[in-house]
Amino acid sequence: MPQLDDLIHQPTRLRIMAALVSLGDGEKMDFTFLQNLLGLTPGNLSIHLQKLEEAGYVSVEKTFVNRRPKTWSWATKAGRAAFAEHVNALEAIIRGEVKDE
Amino acid sequence: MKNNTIQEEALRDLQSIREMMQKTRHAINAAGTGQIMVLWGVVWLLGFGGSQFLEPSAAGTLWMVLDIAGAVGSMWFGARLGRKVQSYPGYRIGLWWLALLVYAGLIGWLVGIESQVEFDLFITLFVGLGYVLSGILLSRIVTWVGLGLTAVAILGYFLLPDWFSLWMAILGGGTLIGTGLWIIRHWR
Repeated sequence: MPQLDDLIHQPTRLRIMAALVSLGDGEKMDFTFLQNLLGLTPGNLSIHLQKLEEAGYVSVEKTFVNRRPKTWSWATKAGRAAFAEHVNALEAIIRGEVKDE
Repeated sequence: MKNNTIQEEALRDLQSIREMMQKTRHAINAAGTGQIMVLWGVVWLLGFGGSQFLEPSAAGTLWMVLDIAGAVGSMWFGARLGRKVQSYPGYRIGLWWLALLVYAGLIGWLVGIESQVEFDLFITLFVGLGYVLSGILLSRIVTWVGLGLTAVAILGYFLLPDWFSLWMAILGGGTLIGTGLWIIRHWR
C-alpha cells in the first residue's frame, strides 16, 4: 500500500515537487522562474527547497552566469520516486482503499 | 464522514498537482513556442506571398532569406528559454525539424515532383506532420495546428490551385500567427 509522504504533503512543497518533476531527466529549473511560477518570496522558496534538499528529494546548484549568481534546482531520482508514491497514495485514498482508523 | 473529508483533501491535492504541472509545462513552452509560431507565420505570409506574385527566382531567394531569418530567430527564442530551464533540448527540436524537412526534400526529389505548387503542398504537408508529431510530445493545441495546416493545404490545392500560394500565405500564415498569439496570451 503506497504511503503519504509527510514532507511532500505540505501544500507549498507539494507544488514545488509538482513543478520540478514536470521537467525531463537532466533538466534544471532557474530559481527565479520557479519562484514566479509558485508566487513565493525568495526566502520562503529557499526554506522549502532546503528541507526538500535535506531529504534528498531535490538538488540545488549555485553557479555564476556572466558574473551573476544563478541557482538551479531539480528533482532527484529519490524525489521523483517519493513524489510518485505520494500521488499513488492520494489516488488510493480517493478510490477508498485507505480507511481512516 | 471523516473518510469523506480525507478523500476531498486528497482530491484537492491531486488537482493542485495537476494544475501545477500544467502551469509549469505551459510556462516553459510559452517562453518560446508562441513567439516561434508567430515568427514562422510571418515567414509563411511573406514567403508564400512572394511565391504567388514574384518571379520564381526572386521568390526562391526570398524564401531562402526568410528561412534563415526564421532559423536564427527560433534559435534566439530557444536561447531565451535556456535561461529558465537548463538543458532544455531546444537544439534537438531544431535538428528534428531540419531532419524532417531534409527528408521531405529528398523524397520530393526522388519521386520527381515537378510543379512548384505540388512541391509547396508536399513541403507544407511535412510541416503539418511536424506540428502534429510535436504536439503529441508538447501540447494538444500544436497537434491541432498541424491538422489545421494540413486541411488548409489540401483544400487550397484542390479548390484554388492557381492561387495556392496566396491561400497558404493568408490561411497557413494566419493560422500560425493566430495560434502563436493565443499561446503567448494564454500560456503565461
